[in-house]
Amino acid sequence: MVLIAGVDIGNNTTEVAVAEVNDRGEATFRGQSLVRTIGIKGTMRNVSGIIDALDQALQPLQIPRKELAGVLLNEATPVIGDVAMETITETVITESAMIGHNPTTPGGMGLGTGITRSIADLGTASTDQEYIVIVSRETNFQLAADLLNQAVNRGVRINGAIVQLDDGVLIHNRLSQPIPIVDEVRYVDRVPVGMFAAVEVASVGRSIEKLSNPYDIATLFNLEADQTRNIVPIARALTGVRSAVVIKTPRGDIQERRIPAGSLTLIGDKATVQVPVDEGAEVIMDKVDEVQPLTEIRAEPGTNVGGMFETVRRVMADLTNQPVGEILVQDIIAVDTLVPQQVQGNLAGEYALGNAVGLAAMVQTQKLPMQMLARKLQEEIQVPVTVAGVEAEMAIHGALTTPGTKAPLAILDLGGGSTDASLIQESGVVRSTHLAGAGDMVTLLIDKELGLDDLDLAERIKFYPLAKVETLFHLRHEDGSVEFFDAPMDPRLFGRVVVMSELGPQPLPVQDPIGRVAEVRRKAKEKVFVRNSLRALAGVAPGGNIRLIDFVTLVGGSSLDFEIPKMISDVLLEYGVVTGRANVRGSQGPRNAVATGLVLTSAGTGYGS
Amino acid sequence: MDREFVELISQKPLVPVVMVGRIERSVVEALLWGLEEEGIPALETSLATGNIQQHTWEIARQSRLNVAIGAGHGEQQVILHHRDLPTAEPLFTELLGGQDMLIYRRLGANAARLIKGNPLVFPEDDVDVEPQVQKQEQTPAAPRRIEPTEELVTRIIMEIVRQVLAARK
Repeated sequence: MVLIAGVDIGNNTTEVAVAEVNDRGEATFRGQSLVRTIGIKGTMRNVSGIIDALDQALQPLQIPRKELAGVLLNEATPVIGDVAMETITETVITESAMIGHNPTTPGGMGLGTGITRSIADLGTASTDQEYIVIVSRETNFQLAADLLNQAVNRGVRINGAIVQLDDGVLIHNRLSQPIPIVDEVRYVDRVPVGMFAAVEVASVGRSIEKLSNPYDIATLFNLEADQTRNIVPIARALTGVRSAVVIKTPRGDIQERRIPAGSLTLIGDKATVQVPVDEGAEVIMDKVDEVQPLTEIRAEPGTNVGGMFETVRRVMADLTNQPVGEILVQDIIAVDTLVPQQVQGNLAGEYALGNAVGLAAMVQTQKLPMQMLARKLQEEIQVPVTVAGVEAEMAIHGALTTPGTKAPLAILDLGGGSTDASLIQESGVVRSTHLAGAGDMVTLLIDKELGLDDLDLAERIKFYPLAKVETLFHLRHEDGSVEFFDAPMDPRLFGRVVVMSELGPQPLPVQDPIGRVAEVRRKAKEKVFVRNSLRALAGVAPGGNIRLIDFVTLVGGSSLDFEIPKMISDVLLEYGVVTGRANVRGSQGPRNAVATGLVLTSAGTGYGS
Repeated sequence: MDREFVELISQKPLVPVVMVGRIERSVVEALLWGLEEEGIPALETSLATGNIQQHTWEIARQSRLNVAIGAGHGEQQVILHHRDLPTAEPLFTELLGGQDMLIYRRLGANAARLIKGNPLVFPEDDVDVEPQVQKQEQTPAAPRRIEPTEELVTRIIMEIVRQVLAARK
């Protein structure tokens, strides 16, 4: 009877399975553990993480490390992936010409037009003219209301106001004649004076109607057809807001600029195709399918995607001690997204949605320096260490310990950097494939679409359900259930959408309702994992036909997600495939498949004797 | 307490504002403006003496909106209280005597937001607080150049040896 440990070094986690093997080659599992992988997988930095994982697995057994008869490492798949985002359109205002935002409490309602004039110059305003008045922070709301009322009494026609502070309602309540007031305009000093402008405020619960329609803007400003075309980006950016200002400046130049996003060159066995990134994800993915099998993908240098390609290739080159030139990007996945971008030249921090394409790339090489890692580990722990099996095969042997499965069986390994599929036939032959795009890409999409600029938070939004804090003492989960607390919550959480992370409720710095945040999250998962699951299974299925696969088990970190397995299961049901999360050894869920497979395979080849 | 006042706040959607002792008018106005901008009406009342937390909580309990603001001369405090909070732990407590009336206006606004279920406002949300400018690249100060005297070199070597020996232990 000997004790052996299987170690699986993954991109994100290192997992260990410990088992006793008797002289008939039968393994009895005694323990397991999971720690974060330290460093990039396959590098010397992994050693400390492995030792930590071994100790954690052995600690409850009270067995010292040196009593292990052997440690088995997987031949880690030499695949790494990275993600990047390429923006295609953005709204640019070269001269300030619009304000459109959602102050919580604008004043008054309706639509007003006139010439912009500072409140300080209202005394000299003409009575033949209609005005929109600009109130900066130097004028408090009481003085502002007095000055406006005085001017109105003098016969000056004032049809609206643009206010810097959050004073809209206070001013409005003190006016003898009500006007629409847009407040909280941070850069009110940038509003040009003496220009024709329109102010619109919608009633509570509604959004503006006129200034979000290009033809209404054209009507108000007497625009020609050509000019109407130019203000379309404004109308689009103002859709859905509660208050807005549009100002006609002499050369008021607003454009939706298309940013040259560079192009990708797809080199296949039979054909080479160039595709501009700004054609969008659908076109890119169609071309990728067209030129299969791919040998290499190149991106235009100087673009975000070009930079991302360089990074993954360089990391892999360093890892494997090969020249960068020999490392090829072999797969990409592209996904269309809408990204909120601050409007260039904004006056109140306005955002407009720009088109963007998210891309994940994957590089693969022959082998990672696993032997070196094994030697180093052996030196450190003084226990024989061997590289005992290929990751994909070990995973499938581990997955086969799931009750209710037998070969032929396919597994989908939903990881952080790549989505992998393997298929074992009755004969024991294993085929596998590795595709770009997995959990990390979902995180990136969530981060960009919600405009968070905080990947840790995006990661939590991906992994944990949302809730809305409705009072100081209760919150409503996204499924509608209510949770009460004995002690009051942090006032900073009040009224906010929160993510129910391991640290407790964490507020999201977004104004979007909970439904939209949840939708962004679900869409991101669908775009990446549903598409990649189909691509990966088609890659290993007999004749590329997914219908010929009967059983699929899901393994890997992302299969622990609370909604991804259902999404994949739903789509695969259309192909008549039975899909479910693996339950390795009937107890480990989708975790520990590779480590378990390593132990089982080695035990079977006479490790115990 | 005034019967009429209690009746009003228990029936109408008003935020009661209670002043215990002499309170600067500018403070009360700032509180009321905060409520007004958020569109919630208020009703004032005065008391001669008493504990501000006790009074404010009691009024919050009687208020139809479950929320009350109190300003106490004795404690020199302005507080925002809610019926469900422990009496001695109001949601917000601000000191009186500050020059910045925005603090009290924000407290009034937060009373309204608490009722409406809107996220509360904090000092860093103010319009006039510029968004954090990207951190400027800090050029590290050039290290002071020290002429390597023989004594200095000896000291450095001794220190290195000492640390190496300590690490071996």
